[in-house]
Amino acid sequence: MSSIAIVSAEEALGREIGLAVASELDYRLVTLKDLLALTAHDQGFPAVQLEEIFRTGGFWRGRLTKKRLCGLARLEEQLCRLVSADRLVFVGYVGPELFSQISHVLRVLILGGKEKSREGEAARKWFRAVYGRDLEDARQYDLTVNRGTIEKAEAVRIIRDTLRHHKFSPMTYSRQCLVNLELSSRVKTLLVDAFPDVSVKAHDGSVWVYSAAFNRGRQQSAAEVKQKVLGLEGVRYVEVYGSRKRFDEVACGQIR
Amino acid sequence: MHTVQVLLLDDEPIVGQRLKGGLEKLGCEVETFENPLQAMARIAEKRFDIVITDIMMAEASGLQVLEAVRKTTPEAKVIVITGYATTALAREAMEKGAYDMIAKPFKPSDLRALVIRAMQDLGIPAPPAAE
Repeated sequence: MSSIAIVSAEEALGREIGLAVASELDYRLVTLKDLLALTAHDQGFPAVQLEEIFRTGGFWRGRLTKKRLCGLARLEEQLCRLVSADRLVFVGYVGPELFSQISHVLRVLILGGKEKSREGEAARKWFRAVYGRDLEDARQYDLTVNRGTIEKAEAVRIIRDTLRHHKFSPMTYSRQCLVNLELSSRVKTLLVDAFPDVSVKAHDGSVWVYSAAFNRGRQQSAAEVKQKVLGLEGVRYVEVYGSRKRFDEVACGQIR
Repeated sequence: MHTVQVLLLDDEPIVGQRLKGGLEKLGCEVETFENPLQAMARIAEKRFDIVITDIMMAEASGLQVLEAVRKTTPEAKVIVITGYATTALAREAMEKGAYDMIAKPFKPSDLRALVIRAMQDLGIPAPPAAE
């Protein structure tokens, strides 16, 4: 079944619509707060460290600090698991790159509210710093609903009817994408504590890993990483790169 | 008993050669094509139950083939196979009426599983060996 990702800088606005849509479709509702609690519970990761990811001031030279990158990798892994279970309404602004790669996830932006709250401003700032783009840029979504002009019941109807379009139906390809994303997120979680800059791509059990730490002279750690990753369920083959350019050429050449 | 008619189109001959035998084992009668224009001409004259088509081909795109099938045999199941899969393409193919899409490279068994599902959705029982 398809899933829905609802994004709104204003938490209450997103939650209100998410709750109504989930109830209408009999889907599971997971908010950002729920995601944090589930990640802490299922992965045994400190809840405090997950909450810190979203606090302002969590950046160093415009980038997330190592601690927060580790937490974010766990959240994204958890999100992959939740989407894999189907019939999900997720309300939150993490994982836009994940959702953009799964054609059976309907991405909805909720705008509205007469005044922009302080929390909303913090969310916009956080999103820009982490993902490098505007949270409210409609081009990243399949549907934008302005609650300033559209009533709740009408918004729910629009989302429900849009989801019925055949193009949001799961297919073999989108399921393959999800399996690959789930595997790459598990590999990333495995490595991110030691290599915070790690990037991972996976396709059908083959895994490509990049970190600047694997550049020349560090063959030892690259070999160790390879062995470690090969120990994960579902991994058949691993390549490790210390060159970002080479990683992009090879891994992204395999996975379009 | 109805023999499932399958048209398999890919401009790389190896794809048709590799997949044809497996589909015949399912009891399908398979016609393979490497040229989309010839495939579309055949679609215009014969009713196929399942059409399997590549997307990126020189003479015409697989989406054009999909549209041709939708016009002539709307009940046919069209399975798109492509080495250039993206979210946008997947959605476009589904919007145009594809039954499913699978990214290359894939295992022949993955495609067979898809064809069996398509057969079941057409109300054609799959051969016992395939169950």
